[in-house]
Amino acid sequence: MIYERGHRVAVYGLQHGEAHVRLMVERGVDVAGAVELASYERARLGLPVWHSMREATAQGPVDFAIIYAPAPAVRSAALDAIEGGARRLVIVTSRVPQHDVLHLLAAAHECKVEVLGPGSPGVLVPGVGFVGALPADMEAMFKPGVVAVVSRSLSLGMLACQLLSGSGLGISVFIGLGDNPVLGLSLARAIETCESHEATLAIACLGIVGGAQEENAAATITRMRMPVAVYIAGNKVPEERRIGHLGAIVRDGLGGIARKRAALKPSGALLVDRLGDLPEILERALSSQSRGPRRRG
Amino acid sequence: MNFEEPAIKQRLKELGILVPEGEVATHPLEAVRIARRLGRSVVKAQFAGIRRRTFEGIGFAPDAETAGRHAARLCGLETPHGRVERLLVEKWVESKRELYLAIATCPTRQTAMLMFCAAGGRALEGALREDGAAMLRIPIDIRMPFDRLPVLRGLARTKGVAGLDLEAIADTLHRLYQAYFENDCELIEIDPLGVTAEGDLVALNCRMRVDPAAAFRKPGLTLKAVPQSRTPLERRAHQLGLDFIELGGSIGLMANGSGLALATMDMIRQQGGEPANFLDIGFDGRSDPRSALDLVKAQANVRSIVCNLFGTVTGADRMVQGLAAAMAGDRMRPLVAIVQGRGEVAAAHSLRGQPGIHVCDTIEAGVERAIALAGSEATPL
Repeated sequence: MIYERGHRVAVYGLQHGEAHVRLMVERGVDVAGAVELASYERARLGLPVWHSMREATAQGPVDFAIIYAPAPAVRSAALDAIEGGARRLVIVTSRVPQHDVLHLLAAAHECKVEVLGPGSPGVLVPGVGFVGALPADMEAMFKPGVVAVVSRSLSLGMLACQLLSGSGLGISVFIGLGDNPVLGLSLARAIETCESHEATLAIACLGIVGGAQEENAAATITRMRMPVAVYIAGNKVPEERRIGHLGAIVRDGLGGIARKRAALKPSGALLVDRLGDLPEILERALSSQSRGPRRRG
Repeated sequence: MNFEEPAIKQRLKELGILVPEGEVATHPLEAVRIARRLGRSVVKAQFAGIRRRTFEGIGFAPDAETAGRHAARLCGLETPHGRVERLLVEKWVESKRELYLAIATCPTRQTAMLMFCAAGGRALEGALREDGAAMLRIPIDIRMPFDRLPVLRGLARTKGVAGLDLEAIADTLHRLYQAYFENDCELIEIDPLGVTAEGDLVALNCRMRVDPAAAFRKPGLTLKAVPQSRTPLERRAHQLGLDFIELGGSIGLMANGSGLALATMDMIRQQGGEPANFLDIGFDGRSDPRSALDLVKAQANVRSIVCNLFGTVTGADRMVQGLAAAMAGDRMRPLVAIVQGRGEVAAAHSLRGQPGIHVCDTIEAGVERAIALAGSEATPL
């Protein structure tokens, strides 16, 4: 799911994501064209318009399909992208009905297409490019470096990027998982992806209350050779109240911070209490690792 | 979106699942009238969406008089789940066994999951504690029509099913799945499903949670949902499209982005303060900061305010426009603005020196300042 230079990108719902696509083009991303399933939308930004992903892939491989279309249109767009042969799919749109997500993920799984989101801000590799909806022009926030940032929350992820860029560690890749209660790329899978990414030496995970992404990532973190720091926001939130983020809800006694931290503790993850300490914790872990091999692994 | 039992049972009944006859009462006298008609009855307090443990809020009544007594006890009762406003008075169905049935969205497996346990109601937790495998789980591909065969095979393998009519249970699960599918559910659960002496399967208690993101295609259903219980201030915020929860501490809080707001809330607690509220003005900070600030200030317990703005797509300098004006005339409750990211210099410049506003550039420093201000400068209102 990591963007590489030269990846070809196709866009669904260009009119809804025009500003983001413009920024992508400015940053040198190869946006090949727009797919419009049910409209006679004229070309924007000088991009060619296709009527299906099949038309797009007939002219060359599509490495990333990105969906900005409104929630009711996301399922059709995603199925077109998956069946049309796109390799990866990023769904930026938030508030996609969960049954639609189950449907499109089942199709994606069959066609071996990786899906990021829904509600994902996308993927960014500093100095290389990005796909999605990120403020990639803020170079002070995305300095090339060694830490992969995987975040469930956009605002926390951006804050972590700023802290790590400011500290000198820098960012190797940023992945925003999205805010839907049902997600394509899981935290666990994202961590694995980052580990195999060449520039990455350490991973920072930004979790929030609700769901079970953090708990499910514990087994993966146990297997990791590189340091994985985890910060989880949202202590003591009232039960049954959805707090901003769609997936952030504690119910039936599940999704609370204590449970997440307890699941992560035995995995060897570096639990971060205060976000401001994140760079220092990773720096320390990296320097102790370079002095000698870790006991585990 | 959560629903009360009568609304769910109506849906189940339409799909051919048996439910006890019953009616809603809001007053003990009404309960007596209904119980007189039904004979032996059960009086149940209605809490939408809550998993009922044991017999919490339930009264069994052999006659109408007892039903009235239960109703009088339950009506208006304050419980951890809120005040009891409505009662469901139902015919008392004698069951010889109780089962657990549910269809739920499983985010981990990214699929709809059918669940069945041969022990339901009070016996469920004990059965699962004894043997986690007592719960049958079958993933269902939401793109396909319901397939009975794997369900029947699964049921036959499940612990404790001897003596049960598996065909009938598979049939009920099929109908339950239909309800899950047609109503865009996150969860639909019958707990317990009673097996009567005659072998009928009756849904005694049930829960249903519908995906709020699907509300746009289920307008009729949305109308029947039980609204989230909100304080008057929370209702006002909801109308403004803001995520706002009152918490009762003394440090008011607003931030752009839910993760940022949660992290700020945690920081307040870590430094020994208590947040008065949670307020997310949206990551892009497009909503008017003044109306957000008004909400925070409207809480009487607030003694200082932390405003955490992180400029990315929208610059912090644009988000703070209007903050100074909104603070003018309120020097009792100082505001600590934490501005970072895009436009931070311009934002700090425009706020610095304004009466009642302090500017900080890290969350740690800002929160510390706000807690100190809440303790010293402010006087109780």
